[in-house]
Amino acid sequence: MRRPLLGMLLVVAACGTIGSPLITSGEVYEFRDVERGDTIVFHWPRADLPVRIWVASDSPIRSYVETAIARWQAAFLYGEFRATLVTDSTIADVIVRNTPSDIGNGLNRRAPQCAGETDPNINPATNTARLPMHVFMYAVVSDAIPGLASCYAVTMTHEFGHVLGLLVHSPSLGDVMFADPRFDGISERDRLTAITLYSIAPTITLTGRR
Amino acid sequence: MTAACWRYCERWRRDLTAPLVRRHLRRMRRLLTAAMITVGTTPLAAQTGVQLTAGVTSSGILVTDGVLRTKLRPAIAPTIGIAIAIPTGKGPYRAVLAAHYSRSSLRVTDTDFGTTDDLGTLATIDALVMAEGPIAGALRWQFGGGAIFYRPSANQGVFLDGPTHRWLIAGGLTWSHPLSPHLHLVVDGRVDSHTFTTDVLVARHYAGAQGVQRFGLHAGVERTF
Ligand SMILES: [Zn+2]
Repeated sequence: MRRPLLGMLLVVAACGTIGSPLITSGEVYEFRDVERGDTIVFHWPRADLPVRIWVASDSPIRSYVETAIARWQAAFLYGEFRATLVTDSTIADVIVRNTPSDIGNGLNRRAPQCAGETDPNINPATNTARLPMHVFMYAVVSDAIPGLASCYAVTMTHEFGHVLGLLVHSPSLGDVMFADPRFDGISERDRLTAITLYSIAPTITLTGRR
Repeated sequence: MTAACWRYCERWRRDLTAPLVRRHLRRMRRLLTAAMITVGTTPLAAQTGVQLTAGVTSSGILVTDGVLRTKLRPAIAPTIGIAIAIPTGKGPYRAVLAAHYSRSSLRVTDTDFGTTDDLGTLATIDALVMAEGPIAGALRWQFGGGAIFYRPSANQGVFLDGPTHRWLIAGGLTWSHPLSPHLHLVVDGRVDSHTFTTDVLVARHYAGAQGVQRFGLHAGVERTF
């Protein structure tokens, strides 16, 4: 009697599968861009992880880059997006500068205290993204003005949402990917949208440095 | 006559002497050798002992994500173990306190994309309290329970909140062979079972827990006192 009971205990304990929560369309916002009627989906392939980020070691925005990386990495359960800071800009996949954009055609955000812009460098004609990507974030007021630190935190997290592939802004003010974000963090909708993006096949492949 | 008939035809067995076929002798020699090894070896019953072992542990899948089509599983891990066995009385039973440490990479497989990725290393420590008793000769059973402690190399993913632990049950077989009056070679095979989840999985509305079975094969020495 004891042996069958032991066997049953082992089997019952070992056969259960964890229940994954469903993601409904109402819980995510549109993250795909449309160019010339074609849908563009971009995310970093696992083979190219961790994404190599360069920001100057003495840059006043370096800590915000670290925070943005940590926030987005924490959104994922299976390491779909991972990034690391590198010291050499020539091997970086993403270059972050504390200056106004010298490219000017990226996804930009301007708040009263600071401005940000990300250029994913996507060419819809060839379905490629050419590395490195560029991110710019800079103060539009004096460093002494209250609210600059908060603006930097929100803006860099927003720009890194673009870096990881959220190419379209959220329509909701409660998300960091809202066009003029106020939310300092990653909302549940931001998180679910990001993991949904990484669960589908990208249409864009990387070219350039890799 | 076939071997099957030799075994089962009772009438034939009574009336005739079975022919001496070479393969029968070979089989008997093998059986005899196995019996001598099993029965002829001194059992470890009622002896206090300390074991040091090394081996491998194969773990089942920690998370099967049916929505994201992803599986998370530790690679086969080299394992070291230590155990103390204490007789429970004058009989052949012992209480065994055992601990094993194993470490391997944590692998994620995306079943849709067909990709596999390493997410750093994952160390596990299990601490077990088991009962041990005889089966035949040097072969003994073990059964008990304890806890398994997960120690990831980085606080990320399902281990975002860091180390975690789970309760487990374990059972197995152990075999020993004397090398000297107080030193024995031991080989044990064990299966243990626990349910896996973490705080971040619960916070993200993953329901229930994943059943995880681990299989371990270890060899080492036991010093008896
Ligand atoms: Zn934006």
